[in-house]
Amino acid sequence: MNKNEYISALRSQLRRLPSNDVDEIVKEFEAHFDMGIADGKTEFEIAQKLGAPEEVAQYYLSDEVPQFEVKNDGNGTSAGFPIIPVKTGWVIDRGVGPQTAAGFANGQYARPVNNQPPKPEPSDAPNAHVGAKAKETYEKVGPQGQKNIPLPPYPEYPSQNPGRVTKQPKDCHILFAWLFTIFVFIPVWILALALVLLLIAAPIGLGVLCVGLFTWVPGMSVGVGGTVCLAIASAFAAIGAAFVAFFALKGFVLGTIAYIRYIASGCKSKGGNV
Amino acid sequence: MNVQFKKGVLDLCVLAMLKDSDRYGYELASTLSETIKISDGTVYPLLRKLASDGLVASYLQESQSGPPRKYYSLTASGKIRLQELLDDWNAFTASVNKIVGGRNA
Repeated sequence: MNKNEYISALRSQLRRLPSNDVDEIVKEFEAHFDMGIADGKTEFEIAQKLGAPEEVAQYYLSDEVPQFEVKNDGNGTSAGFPIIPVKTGWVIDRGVGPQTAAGFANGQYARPVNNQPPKPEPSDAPNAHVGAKAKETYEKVGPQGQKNIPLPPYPEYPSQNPGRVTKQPKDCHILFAWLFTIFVFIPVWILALALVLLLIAAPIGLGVLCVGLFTWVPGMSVGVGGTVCLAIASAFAAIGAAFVAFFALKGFVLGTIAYIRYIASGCKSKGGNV
Repeated sequence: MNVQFKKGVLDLCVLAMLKDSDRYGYELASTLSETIKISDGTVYPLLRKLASDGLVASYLQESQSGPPRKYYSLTASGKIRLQELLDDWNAFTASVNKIVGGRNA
């Protein structure tokens, strides 16, 4: 967590306070960062020593008292990171330094009731990159050389651990897809094609029919009847042609190609954008 | 150690550090966390509480490098409170040491 991230996290945690109070507090933390940087520390180190913004904000928002331990220089367990004060549950790493095994051993960290490692919190996922770094430090460097103390497993965030994520469920079963193709898609395609053909055939048939009909009507001349029939037939032909052009070309051809690609790829491709 | 006692001890530490000279937040935080396991960040809310209790006061002072620093100083009631806490602490450690056989007993 760098200065800006820390400050904005703190600011958002403190949003319940009046804004001039927040400004005042934030100014002090900014000054703290600046002085630390002038001291040659990195922003990350400074953030680590400050403790999680959530925890710091807690003390501004409540009457709670910061917890502390007296450092014991005698046995080497004292050189740990500043401990993030805890209320309940685990200190889940939020990029503010690893928990130390020494800390676990002498109970500096609150443990959950069942003594299990902390569960990943969805809200921690955005900090995965920080978490990964902290995990590395935790596992490699170990807690200040206290390697003989067994480490509780580092909490995993699902986003960081693809190995544990089960395979993505497919929303398309390949057998079902083929059955659907054979028994539904192809019959519908044929039916649609037949409909289009019918639309082409209809004007011709209708034209022939009504020419015969009108010439039969007494008193109506072949010329008038023929013109009316031609007009009707042409209208149907135009509609039919429009349908053919629209569906046959765009809908059927592109749609079919997309569908076949979708099935052939084992339902992986989206099918569209042919 | 119960919470009330701890609260007193932290207050005592901060007030004692301000006894001889005024200090700015960063100085207090880093000095305190050298000897006590405490996150630097928790020193600031503590200072704010002490200030709202009227035990410390703050003022801005220009520094040679960077922006002005926010210094903290003991108020009159801060000095009284410090003496009370110090007396409590000495009485407490003396009596405990009598029992556990500490060097100062």
